[in-house]
Amino acid sequence: MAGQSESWCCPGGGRSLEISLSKAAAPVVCAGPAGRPAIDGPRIALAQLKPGQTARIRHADLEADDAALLRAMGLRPAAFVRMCRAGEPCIVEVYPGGVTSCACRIGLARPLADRVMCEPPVAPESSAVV
Amino acid sequence: MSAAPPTPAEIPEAGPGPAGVPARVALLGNPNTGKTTLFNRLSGLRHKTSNFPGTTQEARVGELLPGDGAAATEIIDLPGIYSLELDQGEAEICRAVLAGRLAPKGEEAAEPDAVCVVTDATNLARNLVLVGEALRRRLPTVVAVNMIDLARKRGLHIDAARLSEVLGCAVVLISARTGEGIETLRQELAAPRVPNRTPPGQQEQLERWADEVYAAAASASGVAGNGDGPAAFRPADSLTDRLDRVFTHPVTGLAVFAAVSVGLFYALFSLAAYPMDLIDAVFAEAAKWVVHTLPAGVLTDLLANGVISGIGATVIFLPQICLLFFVICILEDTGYLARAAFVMDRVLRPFGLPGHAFVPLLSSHACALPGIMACRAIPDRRDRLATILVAPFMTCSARLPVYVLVTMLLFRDRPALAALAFVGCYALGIAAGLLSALAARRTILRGRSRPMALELPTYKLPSLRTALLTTYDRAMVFLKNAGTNILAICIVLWWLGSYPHVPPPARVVELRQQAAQVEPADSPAAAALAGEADALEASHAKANSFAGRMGRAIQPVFGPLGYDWQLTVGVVTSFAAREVFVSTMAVVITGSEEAEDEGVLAAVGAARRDDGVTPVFTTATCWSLLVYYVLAMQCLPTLAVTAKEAGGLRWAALQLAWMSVLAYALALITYQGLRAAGIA
Repeated sequence: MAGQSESWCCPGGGRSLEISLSKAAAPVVCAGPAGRPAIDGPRIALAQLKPGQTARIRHADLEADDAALLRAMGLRPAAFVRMCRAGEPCIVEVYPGGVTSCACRIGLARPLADRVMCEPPVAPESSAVV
Repeated sequence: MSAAPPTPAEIPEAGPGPAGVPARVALLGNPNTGKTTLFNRLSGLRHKTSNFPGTTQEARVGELLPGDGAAATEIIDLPGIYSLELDQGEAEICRAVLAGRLAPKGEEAAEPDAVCVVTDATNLARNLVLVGEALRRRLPTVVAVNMIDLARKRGLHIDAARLSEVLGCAVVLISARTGEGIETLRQELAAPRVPNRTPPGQQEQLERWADEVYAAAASASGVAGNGDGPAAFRPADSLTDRLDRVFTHPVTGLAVFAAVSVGLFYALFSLAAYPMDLIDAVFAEAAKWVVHTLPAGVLTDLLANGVISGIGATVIFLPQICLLFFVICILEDTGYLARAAFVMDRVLRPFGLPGHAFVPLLSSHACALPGIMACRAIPDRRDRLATILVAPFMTCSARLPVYVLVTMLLFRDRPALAALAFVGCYALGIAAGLLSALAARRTILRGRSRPMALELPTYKLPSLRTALLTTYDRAMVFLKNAGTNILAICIVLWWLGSYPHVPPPARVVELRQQAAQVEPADSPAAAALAGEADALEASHAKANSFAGRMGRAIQPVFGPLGYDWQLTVGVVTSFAAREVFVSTMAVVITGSEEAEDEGVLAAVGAARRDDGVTPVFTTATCWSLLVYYVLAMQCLPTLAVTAKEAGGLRWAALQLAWMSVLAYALALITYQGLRAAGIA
C-alpha cells in the first residue's frame, strides 16, 4: 500500500513546482528546489484526467491551507482518484485507502485540480459522469 | 485482505480500564458522517441549541439518558471537521472543546469525559485519520461506524472486533438512520475506555497507519486481487454516477435546481399561507379579546397593539421558517443539496459568494429571516457573513404590498407594464445583493476566496426524524428571538406610533355630533359620519404621534427624494416593517387602514401635498419610492436576526447603514434624474 513519501505542500517557500498548466494532456516533469528534479517520472495534473480515467496522486503545489484541507479530505499522496466529471469545476472520486469500494466524491475548482499532480493514468476507462 | 502487523506506534499500552459513566461526551466526526442524525437519535428532544462563545458556530447540547436512575450524560455535537489539525474555525473549536478550554454558551468549560468519533462506513479509510487524531488525545473513546447498512449494500465488510483490536478502543457498527446498533452504542458510551494504543502523530505516518488499520479491518467483495492496483478499480457506486450525471450537468443540473427552487419557493409562498392566515387570525382574535375584556387604558393598548400585534407580526413567519428548514434538511440528507451548491458555485463565485449561498438567497425572497438563519450551512466564515449581509436585498414578501401600491399608482390599467416594473424590482434587488457581496468581499471581508473543495456525500434516503427535529430546533430558536429582542422592538415602535394621545380635531367632534343627531342611530348615514370621524381621528393621531412628528422633523432629509411629510411619515413608521408603509399611507391620507380597497387606493393616488395642487405620488416620486423600498433595510426583526447570526450588533449596524445609504443614493438619483428628464 502507500509507501511513498513525497511533498504535498511545496517546501522551500512553495516555489518548487513551476508547472506549465497547458490544456494539453501531455505529462509534465516536475522540478524541485534550485532546479533539481524533485520527483522522478512523468506527472499529469488531476484536472487533465479524462472522464473515467483513474490515477494515483503523487503530490500537489498548493497554498498551505488548501493543501491541508485537500489532504484531510482524502486527496493525499498515494490515494487513487477517478475523474467522474471533467471541467470547471470537476468531480473526482477519491480512494484514500486503496482501491476498494470505500470512496468519497469531491467537487474541485479548477485552480485546485490544476495543482494536484498524479502519475499518468494506466487503468482502463470506467464509467464516468459525462 | 490480510491484517497488517502492528507498527511500533501501535504497540499496546496498559489502559486504565473503564472510566465510569461519563458526565459529558463530545461527538466528533467528518462532515456528512450522519453525526447530527446520531445526535438526534441519542438525545431526541432533550437538547438545546446555542453558540460557542465568541463564534457564530452553532452548538448543540443534548442529554443521553441511560435509564434506570443512572446519571444523565451530556452530549455536545461538535462541528463536522476533516481534521483536528486544520487551521479553520471549526477545527479550533473542536480542539478547544477536547482540551477543556471551551464549552457551548451556558455550559462550564471542562475536558469531556469521553469522545464518540462518528465515522462513515462507506468512507472509513479517510475517516480513520480523524479517529487517529482523536485517539492521540488519550480520552476515553468510542468509535461509531455509521451508515453500516449502506456499506453492506455496496459489498463492504467491516470487522468491528478486529477494528476495535487495532484501534484499542470500543467500536460499534451503527445506522443512525434506522437505529441499528444504537443501544449497543449507548452501552459503550456508558462505560468508555481510554484507548490502549496511540497512533503516530506525524501526518504521513498517521495516514499510513489509517491505511493499515483499514486494510486490517475492512474488505470489499468484488475487488480483484489485493485491491492495490489500478486494474482492481471499479466505481464505488454506479447509482451515484447516474444521479450525478443529471444533477451536476451544466444544463440538466441547472434545470433540476431551478425546478427544486421553484418547488421550494412555491411551498414557502403558498403552502405556508394557510397556517400563516391561521396565526394571523388567532393573534387578531387575541388582541380583540384583550380590548373587549380588559378595561380601556394604556395597559390594554400596550397588550393589544404592542405585545400581541408585535409578536403576531413576527410569529406569522414561523410556518415559512419551519417549511424552509424541513425541506432544506430533507434535501441535505438525500445528498442533493451539495450537488446544488456544486452547480451554483460557478454562478455565484464571481461575486465572492459560494454555491452554498444560493439557498439562503432564494429563501430570502420569501422572508429574510429564514434566509439569514439558513446561512448556517455555509462553511466559510467570510462567505457566511457576506451572504447574511446581502440576503435582505432579495425581494421578500413584505415588500410586495408596497410594490403593488406603487406600481398600481404608476401603471393603472396597464398590467403588463406593472408586471415589468415588478420584475425590475426583483432584478434590482438581486443585482444590488450580488454587487454588495462583491464589494464586501473586496473590503471588509477581504481575503482569498477559497476555491471550491466540496464533498459530495453519498445519496441516501432522508431521515424524517432528523428533518422534524431540526425543524423543531430552528423554530425554537426563532420563537426565542421573537419573544425577546423582537418583542422589545415592537413595544418601542408601538409607543412611538401611539403616543402622545392628542385630543380629536374640531371637525371630528363636529362629525360625531352630527352622527349622534341622525335618526335612527344605526342608519347608514350615521355609520358613514362615524366612519369619517374615526378616519380623521386616526389620521390626526398618527400625524401627531412621536413617529409622525419625527416624520415632519426629518422631512427635509427625504425632500430631495421627492417625499413630502406624509410620505416621510410612511417611510419612518415602516422602519420596523416595510409592509406597514401601505397601511400608514392609508391612515395618514384617508384614515382607513384598508389600503387594498379600490376607493382608498384612488384616494391615496389623488392625495395632494400641503400646497393643495401637487400630488403626493408623482411619477418621479413613485419610481424613487420603488427604488428606495427595493434597497432599504426596513425590517427590524431582520436586523435582530443578523446581529444574532453574524455574531454582533456591528454587523447589523453595518447592514442597516449600507442598505440605507445605497437606497437613499439610488432613490435620489432616480428622482432627480427623472425630474431633469422632464418627468415630474
